[in-house]
Amino acid sequence: MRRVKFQPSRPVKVLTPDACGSTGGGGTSGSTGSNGTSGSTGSDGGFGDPYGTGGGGGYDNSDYPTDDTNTENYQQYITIPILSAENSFDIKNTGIFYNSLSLQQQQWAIDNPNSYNQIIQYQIDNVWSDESKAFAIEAINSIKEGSDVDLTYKVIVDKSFKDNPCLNEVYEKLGKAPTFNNYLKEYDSDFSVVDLKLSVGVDTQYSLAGAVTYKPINSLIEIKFNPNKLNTPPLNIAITFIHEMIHAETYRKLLILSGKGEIPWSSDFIESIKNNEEKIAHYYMMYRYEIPLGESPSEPQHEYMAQLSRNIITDVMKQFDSSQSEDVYNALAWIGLMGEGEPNPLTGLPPQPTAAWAAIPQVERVKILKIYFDFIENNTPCQ
Amino acid sequence: MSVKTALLLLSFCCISFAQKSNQQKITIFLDINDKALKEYYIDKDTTTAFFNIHIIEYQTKKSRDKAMNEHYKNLIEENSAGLPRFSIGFYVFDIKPEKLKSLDCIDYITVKQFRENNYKTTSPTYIIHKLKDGKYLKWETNTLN
Repeated sequence: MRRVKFQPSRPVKVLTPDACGSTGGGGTSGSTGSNGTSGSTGSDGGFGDPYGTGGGGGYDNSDYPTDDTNTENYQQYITIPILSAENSFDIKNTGIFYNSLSLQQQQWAIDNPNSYNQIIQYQIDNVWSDESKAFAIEAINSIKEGSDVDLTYKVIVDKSFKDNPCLNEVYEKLGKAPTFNNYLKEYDSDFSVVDLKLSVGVDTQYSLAGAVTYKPINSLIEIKFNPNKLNTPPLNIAITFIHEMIHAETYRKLLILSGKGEIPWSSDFIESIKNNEEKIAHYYMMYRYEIPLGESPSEPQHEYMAQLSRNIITDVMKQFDSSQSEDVYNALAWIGLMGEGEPNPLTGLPPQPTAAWAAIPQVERVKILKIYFDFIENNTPCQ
Repeated sequence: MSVKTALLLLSFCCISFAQKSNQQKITIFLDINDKALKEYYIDKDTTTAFFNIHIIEYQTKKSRDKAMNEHYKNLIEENSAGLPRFSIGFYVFDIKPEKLKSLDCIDYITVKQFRENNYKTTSPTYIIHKLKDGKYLKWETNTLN
């Protein structure tokens, strides 16, 4: 029997238990299995997993290639990889991964071989890292519930999000905005150990917030959008998206620097990242961990964004909708960054303003509020 | 189906749709003296107004102080939302209110119902309050998202 090298670039053929055992028997680990019947596939050859990935064997015998046959001509007949030094690592891990799944997850894998194949391939591409395994399991659970999973950007689009036309439309359009897309790329499997989940729901503690980004848990960051806050123009929702993506990006950076699955919140940790993320460390120390005498605690990320991220927010807005004036973009870039509480309509100041918002003249603050509400009045809500 | 019937049907549909759209906008009746109202402001020329309603859990200063202390004492950041919002503000800029003689035919909710409905708003949300002369003002407001 000819040995054929496993080619990671090709989709992995992961057999379902239905196919398993229905044909030729497998060999022992490291050997090739015996041939299957014509047109069928081979069974497990050594690792004992029901997906038959543990060994070789089971090729279609008809038109069986010879040494002279061009590889391209017979690749179509390859059904499962044969164990070799090149692929044994992947085969072994495929078996281990399958056995680590719950019965329900295994059943899903059996029922959805194509999706499961992609998840296996994704883990092969990520050298079976712990993060990729955690994401793969999260992905299976999410797909089972009807969600979409973008394995390119490692973004789980929850069913609740997918079923919301307003959010879907804004997300699709934002995906074409280069600046926003760059943020998504940070979750690209080649570079990132952090995954992102987009969902819809009301956080009872923050029922007035447009969206909430949760700290990473098991390397997964979730952004939950409030369905009761979508009665606003799409551009305003796009701002919520990029605002939350910047939060997610900060969490992502902190998580990577921690080298763990969760951020170890403490002043020691923040102090330790000073050389890598000087600005983030500065804002956390100044507004959370080492508040200067006479100052009040505040929200470090909002302080940071109010000072340093408004240009990015403006860029995304312009790429999303180029029809507004500079004044509108400037006003909208402040939304969510004025501080905690409701701004007074005469002073523009909320009870706890961010330093950046408090620093601009009162006339300008009130003007920005007016421009914002004029924009809301004169643009159709997303839903 | 005749043209006349079709037009009648179309008119009926349009009216129904218009009524439905109008019904979808929330109108809140506000008692200016209600403790639920944290603060309000109406400009002399009645083109600017602000109505700030307490979130029920944070209506007392004690509850707000407690929430703030707990939030800032906790050095673990759970999420991006920061301090919970203690109130919800309704803003009016450069729009005159409508004067109403009565509330007949006005479909409104009370602050209590607004709270029970999870503070759900629409764009715009109408705020109505009574004047000393027995008439009412109806404001077209919006909230900061």
